[in-house]
Parts: sequence; structure tokens; C-alpha cells
Amino acid sequence: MTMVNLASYKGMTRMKEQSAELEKFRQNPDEALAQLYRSYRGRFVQWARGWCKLDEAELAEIFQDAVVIFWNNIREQKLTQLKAASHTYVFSVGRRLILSKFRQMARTQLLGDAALPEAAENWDPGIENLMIQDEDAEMLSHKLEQLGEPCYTLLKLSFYESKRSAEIAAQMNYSSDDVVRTQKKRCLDRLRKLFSA
Amino acid sequence: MKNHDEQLIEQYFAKSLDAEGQALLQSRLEADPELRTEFEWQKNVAEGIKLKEDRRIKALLQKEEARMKPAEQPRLSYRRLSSIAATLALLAAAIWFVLPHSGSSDLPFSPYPDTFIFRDEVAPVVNQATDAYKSGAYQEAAKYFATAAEQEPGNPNYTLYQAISLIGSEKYEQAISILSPLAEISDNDRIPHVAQWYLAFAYYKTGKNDQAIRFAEQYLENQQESSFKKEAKQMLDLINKK
Repeated sequence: MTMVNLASYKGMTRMKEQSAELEKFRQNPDEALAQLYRSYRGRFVQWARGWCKLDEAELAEIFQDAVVIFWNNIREQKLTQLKAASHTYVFSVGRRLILSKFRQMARTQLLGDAALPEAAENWDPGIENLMIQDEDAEMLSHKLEQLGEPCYTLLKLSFYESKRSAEIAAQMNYSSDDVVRTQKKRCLDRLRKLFSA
Repeated sequence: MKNHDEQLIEQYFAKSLDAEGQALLQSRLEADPELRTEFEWQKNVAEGIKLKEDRRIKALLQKEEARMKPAEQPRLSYRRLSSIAATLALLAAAIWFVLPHSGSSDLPFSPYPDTFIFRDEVAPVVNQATDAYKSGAYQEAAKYFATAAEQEPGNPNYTLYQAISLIGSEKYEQAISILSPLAEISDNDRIPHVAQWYLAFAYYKTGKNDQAIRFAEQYLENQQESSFKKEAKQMLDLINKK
């Protein structure tokens, strides 16, 4: 029989529980995220008020953003194992968001109109491309509303949930992965037309 | 787009490209501008879907936020508030004198605050237990605290909260059997005294007034824990009036 000490036994048990916790978010993200929000929103606001002077509404919004980032990290497989409870992770994301908000506020206060020409001189052309990309994503998100079903679900499974054509075929009852690829091409073409209209 | 290129892009978005596949995709994108345009288009689509889904999830959380906030009440003037308070006080006094006092039903259950079990690094079941406890789902909380107590047998806090949750769900006899040993702990400032109060309360609710008096008096004598002193005195008054 393999012997393990109590500390490593507890550690293993905790790791198992935390993987099960992440699985809960993967299985039913909407419900698990809403539950996380309901359970820890108050505690987050209380905790953050102990060291920063933002009001409750601002902190609630930061907590919402932190939950969205937490979910994206799970979905994009950047977060595959938790070292502590899920809310501890979300609190640390929230803390970073608060600090980044403070940095942004300090910058806005420092940069008056006089500082603008200098800022323009230091303009990074890469930022322009990023802004164009953001605008495209913004416009695309509106066009996706008009795309309708089954195209939206198919594209969401493919680009958001990172599913292969074979998995999509099984999930959406298509006869084969080739049919999914053909359908995906049609959907992308339709979206392209909507985008350039 | 060639079939092979199509599969490479599909693998990229499915996050299943290995290092070799990534290098191959990179070289294909550099060699074929049309493929690069298609790839960039699909990346934009992915960004557009992410933005849409982020907004959907945020809207879901905002809905939760709205549900959590109490509906805004119309503002009342100080004068109006004073008059309502005076009317309510008169009404309460009238009810107190007119209605017969009904024993145990006039001493409500008050949960003990969960402040000394909050730690960041606890097992998920403890968080489930505290969430259920805070939301008043005592039956559920009792089950979770029982599991937590099994996982960490040396920690009497979980057992104490299990017993308090049992009282919250009106399972007084079960609570008494758990609280009795806790009331005897000698090397803790708080737990035995909290246990004494809840033992008094559980005995009172089951009509065992002698035991209720014994534990309420023990609780009142202690100098370390005072959360329920007022309730303990009220309980003794109520028993004496019977």
C-alpha cells in the first residue's frame, strides 16, 4: 500500500476538488458564473473597500469584468488548474483591474492639454492597427446579430468554443465533418457580405 | 483555400496545433497572401464573437446585480418616518399587552456571524457551506459543514456551524447532541460559550426549560463571548413568566 502524509493527501484532495470546480464552469458556464457572482460580489466589495476608495457601483463593475476575464482564461485554456479557490483567482484579477484603473486615473490627471503634442509624437503606429482591429470586432459583433441561426452557433462552436468540425457535426446533428466545413464556409461568406454592405 | 490549409486553420482555432503545425501554418501564411487574408478574417470573426459573448456574460452578471439590489424605495421625510415609527411602537405595545405570550415562539433564532471561518484558502465545501449559511439555506449548510468537519476533524468551528445550521432548520435534538461536547471544550475562548448559548436555545425550543436555564446562566457568566447576552436574559425572563 502506498503511504502518503496528511499534508500531501490534503493537497491532492484539494487539487481534485479544484479541477472539479473548473469543470463546473466548462459544463455550464452561465449558471456557474452567475453563482460565483452572487456568492462573492459582496465579499469582493467589502474586501476592496478595505484598501481602495472606489464606490460600490464601480467595484461591482470591476468584479463583473474580473469574472468575464476568469471565464475567458478557462475557455482559452490559459487557466487549467487552480492553486486556490476560484473566487481567490477572481479576487486577484479584480485587484489587478483596480490597480490598472488607478494607473489610468493618475495618467489622465497628469496629462493635460499641454502634454498632448508630446504624446502625439510618441504615437506607436501599432496602436493604430489595434484600434482598427477593435473597430472591426465591434462592427462584426453587430453583424453577428444579423447572421441568425444555425450560422451563429456553428461559428461560435468553431471560433469561441474551439471545437473541431467532427465535434460540431456531432453536436449540431450534421452528417459529417465535411458538411460542417461547407456550411462554415457559407456562413463566413454571408458574414463577409453583411460586413462589407 | 486548399483542403490542407483549411485543416491547419481549423486546428489553429481548436488550439490543437503542435509546434510543427504552427511552423507549417506560419510558412503557408507567408507564402500565400490569399490564405493570410482569409486567416486574418477568421481571426477577426473570432474577436467579434468573443466581444459579443463577453457582453452577453456581462449583461447576465448585471442582471444578477440588479436582482441583488433592493428596489429603490420612495424617500420619506423625517417627520413622516417618525410618525410611522410611533404608530408601529404603539401597535407593538398593544399586541404585547393584548395577546397571550406563547412560550418558545417569541424568541427567534439568530445565526452566529460567519466571521471566524472566512479564510481565502479553504476547501470548496467550506465556501459552499458559508454561502448556504449566509443565504439562510440552513439544511444545506448543515450538510456541507458536516462534510467539512469530516475533512478537518481537528477544527471545531465547522462542527459548531453544523449545529447552528441544524438549529436554523429546527432539528434541535440533533443540534443538542453535537453541541454538548463543544460546550465542554476548555482551551478555547469562544466556541464553548457560543455552544452554551445555542444549547440553551435548543433546549428552550424543545421545552426542556431546566436545561435551558442551566446553559443560559453558564453563558451569562462568561466574560469572553457576549453576542447573545440580551437574548439569554430575555429567555430567562420568558421562562420565569411561565
